[in-house]
Amino acid sequence: MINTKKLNNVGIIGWGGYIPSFRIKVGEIAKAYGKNGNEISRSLGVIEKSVADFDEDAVTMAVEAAKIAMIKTGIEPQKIGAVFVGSESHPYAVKPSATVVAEALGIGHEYLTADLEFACKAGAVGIQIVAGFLESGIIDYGLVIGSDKAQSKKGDVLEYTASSGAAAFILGRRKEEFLATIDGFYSYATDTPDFWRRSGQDYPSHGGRFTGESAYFHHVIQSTKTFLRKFKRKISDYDYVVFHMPNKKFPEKAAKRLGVVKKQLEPSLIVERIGNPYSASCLLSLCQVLEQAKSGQSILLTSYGSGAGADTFSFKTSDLLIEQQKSFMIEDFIKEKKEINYIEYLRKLGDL
Amino acid sequence: MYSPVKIWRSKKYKLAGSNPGRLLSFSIIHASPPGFKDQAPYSVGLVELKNGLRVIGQIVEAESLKIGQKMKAVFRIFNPQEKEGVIYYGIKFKPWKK
Amino acid sequence: MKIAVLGTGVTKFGEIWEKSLADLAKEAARQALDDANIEISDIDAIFIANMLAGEIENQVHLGSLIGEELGFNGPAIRIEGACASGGMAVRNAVLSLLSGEYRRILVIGVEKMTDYQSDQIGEALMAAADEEERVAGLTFPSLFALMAKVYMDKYKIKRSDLAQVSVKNHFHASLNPKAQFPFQITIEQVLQSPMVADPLHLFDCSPISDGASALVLANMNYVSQVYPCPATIIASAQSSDTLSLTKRKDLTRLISVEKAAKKAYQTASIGPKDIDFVEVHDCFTIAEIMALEALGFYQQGEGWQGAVKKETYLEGKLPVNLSGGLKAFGHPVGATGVKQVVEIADQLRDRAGKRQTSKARIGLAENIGGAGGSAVIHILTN
Repeated sequence: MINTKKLNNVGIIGWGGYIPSFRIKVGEIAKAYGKNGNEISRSLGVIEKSVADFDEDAVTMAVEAAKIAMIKTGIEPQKIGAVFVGSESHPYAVKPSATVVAEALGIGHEYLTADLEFACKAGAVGIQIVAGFLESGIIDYGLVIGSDKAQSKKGDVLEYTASSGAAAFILGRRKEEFLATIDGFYSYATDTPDFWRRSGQDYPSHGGRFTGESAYFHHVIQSTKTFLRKFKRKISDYDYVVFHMPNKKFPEKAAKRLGVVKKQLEPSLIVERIGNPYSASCLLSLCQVLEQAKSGQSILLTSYGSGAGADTFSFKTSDLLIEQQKSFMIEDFIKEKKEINYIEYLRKLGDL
Repeated sequence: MYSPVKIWRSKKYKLAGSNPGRLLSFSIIHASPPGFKDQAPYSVGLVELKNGLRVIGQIVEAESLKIGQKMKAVFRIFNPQEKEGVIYYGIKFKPWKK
Repeated sequence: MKIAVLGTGVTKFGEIWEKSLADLAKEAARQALDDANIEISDIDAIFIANMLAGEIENQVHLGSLIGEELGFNGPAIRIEGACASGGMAVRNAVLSLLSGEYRRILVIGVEKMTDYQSDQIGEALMAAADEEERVAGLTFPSLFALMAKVYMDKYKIKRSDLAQVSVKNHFHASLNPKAQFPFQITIEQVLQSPMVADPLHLFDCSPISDGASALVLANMNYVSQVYPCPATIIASAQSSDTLSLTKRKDLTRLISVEKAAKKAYQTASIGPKDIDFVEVHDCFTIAEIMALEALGFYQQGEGWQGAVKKETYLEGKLPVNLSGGLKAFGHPVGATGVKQVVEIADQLRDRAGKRQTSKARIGLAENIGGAGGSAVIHILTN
C-alpha cells in the first residue's frame, strides 16, 4: 500500500535525450523475411526504428543524454547526490552502469547508486526513488536515466520495434529551479510473466498475445485509474498524457479506454518514428512533451514494465520551462537520421 | 584483452569544454589490426580540441571529411569486439552538425 | 670521426620461408666476415638490431642467441629503436669503437616477419607508436596517411606524385638481384593497388619482409689491410621527436631527421650539396619525400619533385635509394638501417653492379623509427 502523498520538494530541473542516428524501416526488416512491410508497419503504427552503432551501448547513450541535461542545466556535477540508470541492456551483469556514467560526467565520488531493472519502466522508477530522497532532504539533486540498446530475436515481431535511445532527468528540491514539479506518483505491480529474458540469454522471449490485455493494458489502466482516484484528479485535467509505447497501437487503445483524447496523446507518440527504446521510451516521450509544453500545463505519465508493473506520475510545468526548450531538442535527434538496410543493420548489431 | 588496471588509469573521458574540435588530418583505414576487422573500413583522425589539446581517435558516422572540419566528441566503446574483458569506454569523434 | 667499414653482407630480402631469424643473421654475418677477410674470433663485440622478435616470437636476449649461432661468446647486445634499430646499432658500434673499448665490431640487423599473418604483424609494428593510436585502431600506414593528407593539402600534390617514388625505387630494385621485388612497376599499378589507409595504396607502402644485413666496423687504429678505396664512416648522428603525432608541431616535417642531419653535416664539415647519393627510409612514399626535405636536399613542400623530375633516379643529379629502398628491396625492420649503410659502402667500393652510380664519393643513409620518433644518420666516403 502506498500513501497518497503530494510531493512538495521534487521537481525536474533539466532533461536531455539521445537517439542514435541510424534508422531502419519496418519495411526493410520485413523484406529480409519475405513479409509485407506495409501491413506490418500499419498494424504496429511504426514506420522505422532507431539503431545504435556498433560501438554504442546503454552506457554510452546514457552518458550522451546526461551530458546534454548537465549542459542545459549548468549544474555543478558534484552536487548530484544520487545516480540511477534503468535499463534492460546493462552492458555488465555485474558492475554498475551508473558508476561509469557518473565518472564520465565528473560527479565525484560521493553519490548513492545501484543499477535498476524492471523491463521498460526501469528508468521511470528512478524518478520515484530520487523523489523520495529529495522530498526527505537526503540529497539536493539526483540524476535519473533510462537507456536501452534493445535486443530482439531475429524474425520475431519485436524486431520491428525494439530500438535504442536514452533520456536523462536532473531532479532537484529548490522550487525556484523547477521547470516542472512532480506532484505525486503511484505504482501498481503484479507477478506477470508477459515478457522476460533469462540470465545468459541474448534475446528476450514473450507470451505473444498475452502481452496485451493481462499485461500492458491491465497495468497501465489500473495504475492510471488508481492514481486519478487517490489524488482526486480527472483525466481531462491533463494537457498531455504520455504512456509507455511498445508500438503506436497500444497507447492509443489504452488512451481510448481511459477517455484520453487525441490532442492529449498525439504529441508524445514518437514511437512511430523511432520505435520502442525500452527504458527510454516513456522518458524520451516526456522530453518531447516538455519541449512543446507551455507554462502552467499538466502532464500525466504512466510507464509500463513487463514482469509486470506500471507507475503513474503527475507533472506541472513552470515559467522556467521555456529556457530549456531551445537547444538539443529531441525533435532534432529524431530528424537527424541515416537510413540503413538490413545488412548494415546486422553489421551494427555485430552479427556480421 | 586490455588490462583492467590500464583502463582504469587511462580514464580517457575528461574532455569537458572540448567541443567543437577541428579536424587536422584523417584517413580511412581499410587494412586493420586483427581486433578491428569487423569495423573496417573505418575513419581515424587527428582532432584539435577547443581547449588546445590534440587527440587521435576514431571518427564515427563520417560521411565526407575535410581538413579543418568541425568535430564533436562522443562517448563510445573502444573495444566493442571484446566479450570478456572490461569495456573500454572513451572519446571518439563525429562531424559537428548545427 | 673516421670508422672503417671492413666488410659488408646482406641476404636476399623477401619471404624467406626456409630460414629462421638466426639462419638469416648467420648468413649476413658470414658474408661480412668473409668480405672483411677475418674470423669471428677477431671480433670484439656483436651488436644485433631487431625490433619484433620479442613481440611476435617471445624471443629477446638476441645477443646471446646470435652469439651462440656464430660461435661467439664475447660481448653481445641487442639494440632496439623500432625501425631505426639498424641505424642505432651502427651508431652505437661507431661510438663504442671511438671510445677505444672495442677494436672491431660485427653489426647485424635482422628481422623475421613472415612467420605470422600480416594483420598480426601490422599490430606488432604498432608497438612503435603511441597507446592512444593503438587503442583507436590505427596502423602504421594510417599514421603516415595522416601526415600525407596534410602534406597533400598544404602543397597541393596528387596521389600520382606519391606513386612516382615507388616507381623509381622499383626501377632501381630491378637492377638489384637481392631485392624482394626486382621488377619495375607503373604509376597506374600503384594507384590501382588496394587502398590500405587513404591516400596510401598498397604499393605506396613497404612490404613485410625477412632479411638480414651485416657490417664489420673497425677503429682506424686496428685496420690491418688497406683496401683500394676503403669505405669509412665520417659522421654518425641521432635525434628524436615526440612519439605521438598529437604532440608534433608540423605533421609535414620530420624534425628528428632535420636535427640529426644538422649534427651529421657538422661532424663531417659538409652540407647537403656535398652528398652524391642517398639511402632514405621510404617506409611509405610520403616518408621519402619528407626525408629529402628534412635532409636539406629540397625545400619544404618540394621533395616530391625528386622522383617526378627524375632527379633522384640513378642517372639523376642526386640518386636516392639505389638499393630499391624499403619499398622494393624490402623492409625487414631491424635489418634496414644496417642494409642502408651496406649499400652506401658497396656503392663507394664500386661493388653495386648494374645499379652502380658513377658519382660515388660521399653517401648518406637516413633511418627513422616509427613515425619519425627516432632518426639516425650516417655519412660515408671512400
